[in-house]
Amino acid sequence: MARTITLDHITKIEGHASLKVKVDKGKVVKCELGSTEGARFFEGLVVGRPYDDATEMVMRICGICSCGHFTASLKALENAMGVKVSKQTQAMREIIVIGERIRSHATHLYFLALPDYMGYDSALAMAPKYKKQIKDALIMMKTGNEIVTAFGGRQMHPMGGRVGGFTHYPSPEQIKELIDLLRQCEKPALDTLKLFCTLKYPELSVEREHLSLLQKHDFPLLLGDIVSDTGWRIKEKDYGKYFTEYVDRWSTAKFVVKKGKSFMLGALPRLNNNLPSLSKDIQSILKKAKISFPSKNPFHNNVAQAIELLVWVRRGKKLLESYTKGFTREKITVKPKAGTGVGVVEVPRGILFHTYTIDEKGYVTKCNIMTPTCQNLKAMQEDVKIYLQQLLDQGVKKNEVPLEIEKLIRSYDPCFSCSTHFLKVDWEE
Amino acid sequence: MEILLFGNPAIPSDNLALEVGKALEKEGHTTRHVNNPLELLDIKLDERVIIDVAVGIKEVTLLTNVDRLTLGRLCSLHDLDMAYFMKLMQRLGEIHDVRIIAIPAEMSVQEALPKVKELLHNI
Repeated sequence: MARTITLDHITKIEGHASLKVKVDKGKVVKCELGSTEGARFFEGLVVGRPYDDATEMVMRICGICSCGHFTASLKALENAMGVKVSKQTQAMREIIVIGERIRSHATHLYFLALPDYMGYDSALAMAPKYKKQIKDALIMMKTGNEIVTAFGGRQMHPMGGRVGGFTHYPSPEQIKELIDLLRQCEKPALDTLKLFCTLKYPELSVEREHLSLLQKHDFPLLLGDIVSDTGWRIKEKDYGKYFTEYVDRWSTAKFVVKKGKSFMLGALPRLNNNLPSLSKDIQSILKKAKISFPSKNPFHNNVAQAIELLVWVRRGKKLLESYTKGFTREKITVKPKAGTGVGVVEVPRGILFHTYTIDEKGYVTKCNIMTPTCQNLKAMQEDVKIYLQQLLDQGVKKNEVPLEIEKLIRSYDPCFSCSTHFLKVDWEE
Repeated sequence: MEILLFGNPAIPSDNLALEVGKALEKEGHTTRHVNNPLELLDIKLDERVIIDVAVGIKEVTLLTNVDRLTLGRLCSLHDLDMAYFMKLMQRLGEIHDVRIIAIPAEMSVQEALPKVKELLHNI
């Protein structure tokens, strides 16, 4: 007899999704993971609007990753119109996305992922026993917020910059405060990494390509070629030749494949592809914990996020220390020019693609956006099928299955709001 | 005593506390708009009064028990709201004596203001 498992609402992820699986004689025969959120239509909304409006609009795709959409959009529009930005602008953009990354990773690790491993329903239930840990998370989240606010003018949907540069500059006093905050975050970030190294992760190894940007000498943020752990490497402008979007009937979010196959994005692929950039002290913590990278276990994405948290805290502090006297106000001159531009950046959940075509007056005539969750969706769906079969083979009880599947999906830190979209499991047997 | 105001100025059904706050400022009260509960981390909440809009009440009400706040289903951290944060702070032992003036979402500023002032006077 076949059975279907339905998870109608997967909680503790960003957004909404559902999962339908069919099990026949102990074998998983169908697995459909999809978004249940409404379609967003952002790509259509920006058509016919001036280029500056496009950035303002598309960053509303997500409150968690608005700085990512902000920078990807600016980069693509600048590439379309041949606009070069200064070293200072580049540094300011890096700092604002570091702020967003610290906020996002601290939030996901402590409020969405950790309760699963500690045996609690929520961070709220964990709080009385794990006061230090929750306070650490809040301090890091607040620091991320302060960074974004100082550079973007507000906590999300930054308005401090536009095509060509910044219009809002934090004062030297604000920079000093941010450096102090980041200094305070270093121990909590280090403790976070040590904590996530002690958790017991399910064993699951899935062979698939891990993609990320490759930034020389450091973890990638806004620059670099697109690379895979197989050695494959392309320039960002060529992504369209390899990545294809498609729609399945059970999901309002699109799926993305690379030459017909799934791939993984996010903190784990970033780590796997940029291992030489890892500092000696982090390598030593991992060695002591007996967690080795590169890893193909998607649950290790949480460890990778914890590593990144420490990396971003340190890098944010170092970048800001280069500007303690403040930033120089720069004149922005942009002349609209017809063209097509691609903007590829790393956001907390992986690579984000923005592409715009602009007419000679600076109006958007075409837009395409591929969020990391859309790109990870097929890999998540395949992993659920593999992991569910593993659980059934191990004789795990039916009532324990949904939590295990949710843990797996949460390890990807999906943002279903962005990809239009969490868990509803439909068990069919 | 500083009054902390919650709400979204752009959403009419959620900006009532901010509108009431504007009227209280004119009368000499010190108010502060809180955009995100994380802004409250370094603030001694026991020494402040919070004003926010609430659903499920008919009158302007003084809440002194965080347990009376109900949580929506926390699906994501997009849902980290004041109620969640207050409960979290209580469990962390950061707040003991909370004062939240809750205004019914459908009430007008004119109707809410005198009742808010009366509660503030008695605190």
